Amino acid sequence: MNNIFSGLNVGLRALETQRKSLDVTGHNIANANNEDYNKQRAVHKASYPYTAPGLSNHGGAGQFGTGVEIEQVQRVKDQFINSQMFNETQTSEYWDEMTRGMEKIEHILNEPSDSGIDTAINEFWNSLQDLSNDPNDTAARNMVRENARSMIDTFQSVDNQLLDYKESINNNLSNAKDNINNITRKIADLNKQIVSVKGSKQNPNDLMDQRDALFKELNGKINVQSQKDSQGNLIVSTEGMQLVNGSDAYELDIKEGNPGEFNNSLVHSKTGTEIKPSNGQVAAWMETRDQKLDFYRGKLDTLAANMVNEFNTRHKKGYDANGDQGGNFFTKIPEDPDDREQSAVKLMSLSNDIDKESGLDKIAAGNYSGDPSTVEIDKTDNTATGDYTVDVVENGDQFEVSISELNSDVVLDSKSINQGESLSFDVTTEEFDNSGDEDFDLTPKESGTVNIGLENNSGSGDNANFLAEVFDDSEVMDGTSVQGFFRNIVSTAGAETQRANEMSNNQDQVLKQLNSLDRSMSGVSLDEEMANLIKYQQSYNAAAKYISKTDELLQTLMTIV
Amino acid sequence: MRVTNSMMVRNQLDHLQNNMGDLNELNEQLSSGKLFQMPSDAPIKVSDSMNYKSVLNKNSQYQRNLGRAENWLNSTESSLKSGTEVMQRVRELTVYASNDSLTSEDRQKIASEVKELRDEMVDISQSKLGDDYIFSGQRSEEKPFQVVDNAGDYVEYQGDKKGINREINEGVKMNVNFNGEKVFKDEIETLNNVYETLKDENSTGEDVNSYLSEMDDGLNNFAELRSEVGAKLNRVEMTESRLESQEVHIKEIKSENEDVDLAKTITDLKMEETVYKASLSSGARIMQQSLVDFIR
Repeated sequence: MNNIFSGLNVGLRALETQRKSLDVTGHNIANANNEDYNKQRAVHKASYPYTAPGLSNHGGAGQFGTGVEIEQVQRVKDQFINSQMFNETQTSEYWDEMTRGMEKIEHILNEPSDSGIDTAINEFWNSLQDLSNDPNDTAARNMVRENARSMIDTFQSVDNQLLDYKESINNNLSNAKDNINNITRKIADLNKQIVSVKGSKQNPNDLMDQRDALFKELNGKINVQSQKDSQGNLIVSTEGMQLVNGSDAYELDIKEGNPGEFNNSLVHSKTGTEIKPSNGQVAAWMETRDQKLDFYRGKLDTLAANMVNEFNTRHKKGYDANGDQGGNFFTKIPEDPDDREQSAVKLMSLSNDIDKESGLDKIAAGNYSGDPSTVEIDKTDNTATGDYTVDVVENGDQFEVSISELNSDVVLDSKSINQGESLSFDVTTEEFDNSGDEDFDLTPKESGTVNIGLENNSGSGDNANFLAEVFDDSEVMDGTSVQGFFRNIVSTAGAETQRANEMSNNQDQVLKQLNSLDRSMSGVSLDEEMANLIKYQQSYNAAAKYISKTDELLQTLMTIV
Repeated sequence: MRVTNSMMVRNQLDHLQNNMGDLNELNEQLSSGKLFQMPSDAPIKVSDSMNYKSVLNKNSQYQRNLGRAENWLNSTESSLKSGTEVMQRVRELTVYASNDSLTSEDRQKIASEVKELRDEMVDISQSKLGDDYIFSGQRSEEKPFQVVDNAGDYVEYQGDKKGINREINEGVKMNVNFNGEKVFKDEIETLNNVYETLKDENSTGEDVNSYLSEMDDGLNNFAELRSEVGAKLNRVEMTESRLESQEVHIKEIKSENEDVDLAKTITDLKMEETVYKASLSSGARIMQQSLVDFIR
């Protein structure tokens, strides 16, 4: 029945509603600086109207309002922007971590600098050149050996740091796992509370904010998908495996890999399935660990193995200070990576012969050929002597080789052979033959005229020169020089870092944009809240006035009596 | 678009961060003098710079090698010069001694001078550069000649015929030594023969005179060799000046590739500084204010 007392009720409702709205405003203001907070709004609704159709309705046709009530405290949120943000967070964190990983690799490579591999190679090259100028000089020999040692140290220090980094990422995986498990457990707990609040027909706004924030953090770690069920549970899964279902969380576990290989993996503890994240921080770590680091270590390995083996091959073609055939300068590295017990870089060391005290004399600076890069000589009969001039002319895919005595125009013999093949020369008959009496083999490499002498006198520095060419020869690394190959490694790492950095910056922009949209929608505007404050205050005052007017009406009524 | 306080603060911070980042980059460039610190700053340029660095390293090594070649050739030249002087002195003495009117005492005096000159010629052939005998081929630890003084030969060549090479530019090798046997053997033998003839009391002026043409051959030999050394020294000098100008050139390219253009960078820095200051002061102004300030 619509009577004078119902006016008091209308006023009272209005008072309550404005006061509650002021509370919501206060809550908003309090959380103005909370990044995870979403603005809340008290939604006012006219309360159920009084209606009494019928003859006794003396107020006329129509319904009478009964005032206002708060329908709900609404969380202002755009779910579409929200889910985009979750996705982009995965990619953003992935590239952030990739950038960090690549920058670390860049730092380890230590270029451009005066203490990196490139400089070590340059210095070794210089000492070989100096040795070729002064093959009898002990100091020059010493420099060659010391610079070889420091080059090995530099290679190994870079490789060790790369390996250490791999190990540290591997160890870090268990922290990431703990983090993820922690988050999923909290989400499961929140699910439970949210469902129970929702059951009582209320909006668990602040709990949902917390859950969204946790889910966003989880997205940064690993690629996850989510889905809400009808009760309000957030069901979280990664790579098809459930992490949270209702109030249950399923943990991730670490499966230890092979010792020394640093290849631990993540497994889903409930099903035992291995999980290979495709996005987020963990994916970036695993990719850095399993692909990037292996790639760069592999490149260094190829470099080290080719360089060392080519150096040895050339070293063996020369003779040392005692006139003996050169041996291995470095310890031999097996050609086939499968035959190596360790990485090629780790296997790098001076051979025992060179390494020991008397090893200086074992450095093979001398060569029978005045220019081994034009004509290589392999002396097969140690006692043979003689001085010759060899003339090589390239003709199609053949070499025309003629040999004469040193400084004589009389050609002793000449022959054409395919490139890559060798000729044998017999000093006695002064002919190329393969009768078995030959004294040396001769392998032409390019056109040119070269003097050769079969005596092994210590003044020859030709082989030292030949050794220095290992670092410039484009054949050594299959089309690039040793230094070119290394420069390539550095610029590849640079380009990859640059790309990761750009991707990370782009992703930052995308996230910023989304965040801006989100904050525009859901952030607290102090101006707005201050305006609301005044609005609700005024309404509250007005409602109070209304009650006092109704009271006056009542007073008037009472005085009649 | 609805603008909220946290949006404004965040945007303001982002922009400040960006400006700081730009300032930092310019500052790093100025303080290091280089356009890049890490390969990722400019992958191609870093690779180029590393290449230039090793080209420069090689260049300076080749210049060092050239210096060594020059030393070797200069020593050779001065030996040949001394050899020529000795030869000329002996020739003068020979002409003088071929006069039959000299007493045997005079001839003996001349003979002993020629003996000294012969020994000097042997000494000259034993010139050393550092620890190396320059006329012994690759057997450079041994003296080129040993005095044997038997029937036919006064000295015997100990060295070999092999060349001493210096790499004077990438892949370019230059032979710097001269085969000692070809340089000194005949000359020493001639001097010894002259001495033996003078010492022999039965020999006539004509006997002595007959060695003049051998001596002229020796002098010619020295002259030819000296012109060959001169040509080689010429080549060394030319290569040296080519390497020097290449060095300057590469240094220029390298600097263009990696060095900071100071004027430009300082201007950029000033500009960034202004922008940074502007964003600071606008931020300070905007962020302070809200409706709160006006409601009493």
